[in-house]
Amino acid sequence: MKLFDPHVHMTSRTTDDYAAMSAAGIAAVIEPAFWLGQPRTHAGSFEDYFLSLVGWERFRAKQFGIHHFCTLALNPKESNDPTLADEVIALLPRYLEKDGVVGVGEIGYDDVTPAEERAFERQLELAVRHDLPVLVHTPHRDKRRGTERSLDLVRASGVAVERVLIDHNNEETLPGVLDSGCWAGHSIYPNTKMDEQRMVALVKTFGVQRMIVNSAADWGVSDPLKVPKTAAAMRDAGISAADIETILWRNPIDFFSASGRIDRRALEGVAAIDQTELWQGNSVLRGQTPRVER
Amino acid sequence: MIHSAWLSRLPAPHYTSRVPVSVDPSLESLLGDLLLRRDPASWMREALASVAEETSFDRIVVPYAAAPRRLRGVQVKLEQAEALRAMGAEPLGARGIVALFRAALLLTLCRNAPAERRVELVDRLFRTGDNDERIDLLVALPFLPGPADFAPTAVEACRTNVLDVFTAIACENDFPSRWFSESAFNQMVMKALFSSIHLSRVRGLAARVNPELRRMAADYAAERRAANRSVPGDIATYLEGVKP
Repeated sequence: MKLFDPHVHMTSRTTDDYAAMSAAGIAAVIEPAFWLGQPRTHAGSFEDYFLSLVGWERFRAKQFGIHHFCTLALNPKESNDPTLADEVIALLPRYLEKDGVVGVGEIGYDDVTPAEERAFERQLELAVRHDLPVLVHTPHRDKRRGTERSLDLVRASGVAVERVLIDHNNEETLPGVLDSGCWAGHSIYPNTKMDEQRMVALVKTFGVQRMIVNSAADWGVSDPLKVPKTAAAMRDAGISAADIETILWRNPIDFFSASGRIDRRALEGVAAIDQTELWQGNSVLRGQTPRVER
Repeated sequence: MIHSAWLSRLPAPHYTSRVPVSVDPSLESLLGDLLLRRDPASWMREALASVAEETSFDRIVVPYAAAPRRLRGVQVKLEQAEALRAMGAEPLGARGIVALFRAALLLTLCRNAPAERRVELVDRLFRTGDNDERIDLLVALPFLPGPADFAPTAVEACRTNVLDVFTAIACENDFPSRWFSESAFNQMVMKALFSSIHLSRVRGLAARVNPELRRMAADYAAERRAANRSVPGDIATYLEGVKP
């Protein structure tokens, strides 16, 4: 069974992670644009970051047989710098037109400030203009209210609810998100957010429709193998293989295919690995024998 | 202004646009009946008209970035392929039409913007572009009005570490031999030698060979020999007087 991790910040991960993810069955990932652990101070830093997400990082993933897509946006945290926010949002239309970009995200609330709300609204407008689905981050603090407020903003924005994925849900937020018609993401984390056993319980209660699971792994303590580990937990709990495949492979494809930029046939086929390839004359290898599998 | 046959075949509403479109007629005619096709055609036409109407960075950058996706599957025809080959662009596969359309966008921008603004816009487009966007821009440079003004951008392009970007300006491109200063041209030729690029690919080299370039190449050949390494054979062929 193929697995899809639709929220993982691979730029922060090593090639060992790519190799382990590939071995565990992950065949495709989506990397949402994010902050880097410390705030950027120039819009130009975002240009290079966006270019790396559609360029070098796609190549790196491909070297391990993994299809890499991304969603681009100004993240909620950095939306609080008003000059930076205006400049980065002005840059986005160009990058949103590029290959491999399958959504606007992650946008939403962090501190739930007026500046975050303004960036959130303006980027929902960009999603409409560029005909892309949306990935919405929900805050860690005051999560339930923040999620409800996100849903209100989505409804008011005119973006179709079935093109919106509300991420990082828990037992408290999930019912409201499913009722809204939006898709519901769950980030399986070592300690916070959600874990494998709680996820199993949610699937048993709420079923598989519009349910998405990801690792949200980044530069912090996190685990890029949480999607395969959740698959194992679901199997152990007696959830059918068909249901597991729906949640961990078909649902993210169905959701992000609204972008028109996902080739389903390529995803279903075997990804060719050719580590003899170079990106701009550069390789991920350091003297190893290149792996070639077709 | 030469209007080729395809223009007269266009239905009237398409070219009685209220926007005075100033696309170079030769490039427009190269796009030929691609402009008659429904989907990518109307998109290309609207993008060109939009850039002609307002020569801003925001107007050009979105269609410039979107071209590979919007024009997927559109193949160039024989005469277009020949023109692209003459421009040093790759005519086959998906990239041909993208290079041609991006050249048309750049030309439209430059014909409608004041000289000092067009240089700034083209330079910014180059600096912030991805590799393919940079390559298509470099290939189009010799065809833009006031080409000498773009020399700083083209010289900067030679400093890239990306081979395909370097060859887009250094190889099969008339720009360097016509508009580079002697020192910039010499540096480019030396970088081509270092990158194992055959000097036959540098257009206009014979007319630009100078004593300083001969000296640099001779020093390079001597350095290679001292290290027991081979000396590129084309040094002697193209830089007369330099021992291979």
